[in-house]
Amino acid sequence: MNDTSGKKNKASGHQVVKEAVSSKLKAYYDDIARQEVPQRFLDLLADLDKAGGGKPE
Amino acid sequence: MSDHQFRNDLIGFIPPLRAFAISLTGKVDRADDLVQETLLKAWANRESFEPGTKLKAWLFTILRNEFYTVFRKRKREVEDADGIIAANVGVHPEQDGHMDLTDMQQALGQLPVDQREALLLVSASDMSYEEAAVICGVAVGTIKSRVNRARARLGELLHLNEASEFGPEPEVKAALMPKTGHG
Repeated sequence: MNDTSGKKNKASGHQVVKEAVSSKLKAYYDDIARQEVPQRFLDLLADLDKAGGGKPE
Repeated sequence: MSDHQFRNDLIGFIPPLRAFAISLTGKVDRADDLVQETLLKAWANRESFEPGTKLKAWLFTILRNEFYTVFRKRKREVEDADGIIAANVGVHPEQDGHMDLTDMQQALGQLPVDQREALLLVSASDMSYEEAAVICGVAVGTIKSRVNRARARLGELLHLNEASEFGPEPEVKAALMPKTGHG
């Protein structure tokens, strides 16, 4: 009985760590993803689109 | 798909691509070079993209390949990419709601690069294990074990595991709880 509940606690402990890591990582990541798209990328794509074909080779 | 549509779709994926690249390299300038190369390659090869398949996975594959190309070219930077990530990721002052961004960057920098990319794809970029396996060119089981090892190591590095056998400490609980107005 005790053994089983001990294992269960340990397993749920791992689950807690797993979720804590995932939620911290996600918060870090989403903060970056919320940053404004740098203008250089918008300009680059606008230029490529304007150039039309623009296929290398 | 028209070029214009393709361009708009690419723009929509710039934020997740940047988040992946910055987390992978730890350096905003290197990350943005990777994103730029990815956009150029995607545009040049837009005819070979099959509409209906996942553009996101396609773009992440290009970015990852580009990362390893640069990575191998500059062997000296291997230590850099695998070492401590410089704390130069742009963090806006108004983002002080998350005080541990730098801890996370440094912890990620201490993971082996194969574990880091697996973790970022699955736990942060919302890719399935199967998609991550295709992107990284390894078996699904390999991705799973890399993600598990990365998560465990990150838990240690961020001291999230210390009370794991006795239930969550207040700090861990706080990390799990969505922030609400009260409390």
